[in-house]
Amino acid sequence: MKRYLCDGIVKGATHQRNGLPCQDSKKIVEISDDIVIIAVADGHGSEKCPRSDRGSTIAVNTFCEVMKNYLQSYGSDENGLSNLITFLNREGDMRFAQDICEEWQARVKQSYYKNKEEGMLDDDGNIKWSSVFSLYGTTLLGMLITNTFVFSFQIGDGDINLVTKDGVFALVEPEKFLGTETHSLSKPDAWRKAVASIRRRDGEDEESCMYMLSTDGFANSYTSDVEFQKTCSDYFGMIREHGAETVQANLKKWLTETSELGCGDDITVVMAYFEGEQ
Amino acid sequence: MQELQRPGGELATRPIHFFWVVDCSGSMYGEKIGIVNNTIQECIPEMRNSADNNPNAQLLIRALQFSSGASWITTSPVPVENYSWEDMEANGLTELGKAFDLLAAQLSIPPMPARALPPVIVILSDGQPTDDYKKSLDKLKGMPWFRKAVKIAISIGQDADDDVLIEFTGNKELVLQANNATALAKMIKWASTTASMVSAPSSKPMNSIPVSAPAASTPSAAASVPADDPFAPANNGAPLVLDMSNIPNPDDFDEGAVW
Repeated sequence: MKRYLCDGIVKGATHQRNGLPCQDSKKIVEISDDIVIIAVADGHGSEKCPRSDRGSTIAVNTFCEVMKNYLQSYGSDENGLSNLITFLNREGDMRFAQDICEEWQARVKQSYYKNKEEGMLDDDGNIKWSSVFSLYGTTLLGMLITNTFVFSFQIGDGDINLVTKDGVFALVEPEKFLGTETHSLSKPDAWRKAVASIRRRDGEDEESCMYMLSTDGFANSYTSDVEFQKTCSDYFGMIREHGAETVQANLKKWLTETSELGCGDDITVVMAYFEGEQ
Repeated sequence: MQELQRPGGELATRPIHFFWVVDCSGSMYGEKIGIVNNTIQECIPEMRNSADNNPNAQLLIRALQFSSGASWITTSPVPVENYSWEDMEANGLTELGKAFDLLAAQLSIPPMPARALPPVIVILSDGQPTDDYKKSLDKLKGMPWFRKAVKIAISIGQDADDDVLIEFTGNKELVLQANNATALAKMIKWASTTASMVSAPSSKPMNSIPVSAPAASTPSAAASVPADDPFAPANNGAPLVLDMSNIPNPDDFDEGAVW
């Protein structure tokens, strides 16, 4: 099946007005025609997280790097991927999540050493790492898409959906909170809040489908879950009808409008569309 | 490039529900209820201005009065642009539990949407509840949106039951003391500004400790958290979104008549 990728990231209307940076990040690593790694992250942007824009960038880099290492270690051939499914199915929300958190923390430490901040030392002069991590607070959503399976991973809010002609299906079900709170990669035990799932694919026999990752600014801009799901289906329909290139060319404008007329938050959307038999 | 219309469902700004809950018992008669009516009325234009600065949040207001029974002045939430304060009159008892029951009904999902900013509830009272408020308050405390809400109490005069108000807010610092006319007006004005404080869309790391701990346990809950814990609830358990540094100091308005 031919794969098409569309991605967009826009600074939230509120951030535009207040002169704040965009705190979302995204990264796509195309390993081959059959394998792609996608990550998006949403820096918290609250007062306690002034470096969350860097935190989200580190998060997407971390996910892609850790996943690439797994692919290298297991191998991208049929046998390797089969072993990787088994591992991720069993350990996606445990060992894999721990690897992600450890790597993110290690990279945050490197970033912090380059640019230290006052008030991060305890009485003995040691760096309070939990406080440092919170400066970089962010969520993380990631996917590994191969022609035989998809792995979805999430810490914090946001949405990872499969869109087909039959509807919109959440691939992971993260814990949802009312208001503005979310689980965070910056918590020392963040891996405990990770959710992950494996879904097998039917390869070449599959009908057209789309995997869609989005930060919470996207869903929060709609009146309800129903309207959000309708939106996912509409984007799917747009790519089918007009092609990925046209959607890509319009996406930034659409997302900017969505933030302006919606919740005002940063918005990131990545869509991986697979064209099957029409 | 082919220019296409944006696909997708109906967009919406995020609502922020603001509740005034006003004690209209007999002891509020005269100067107290007069100041409440006048000051809240004066606050509305300022709330409108603040709301204008954040077009991605929709401020919705409603008011609830309690005395012998309780009733909504405006049953449905009214956008601040269209809101006008209706003067309240004072007489009767202080049936706070009845007010909590009405509040609970409105904080359920539905009618509250799941997608919204934390609501703000401001309660003003000058006396002891005359009904069994406890059961109603316990029910309210069990509601998800109540737990997320910014809860502020204005304790009017020295006969107000601060223990009940602390139990309501879950935080002693958010029980504002108003022992004379000047203080009452200042506190109402400060409370009215909280809507703009909670309307920013930034996310917060989820706390491991409930945001609004029961009042009786608030000091110990706060004390059990290391002072430098970056994930500890700010302001002794008040929602993280509220900056309490500029709450008017009641000592500044001590002169004049004391209620």
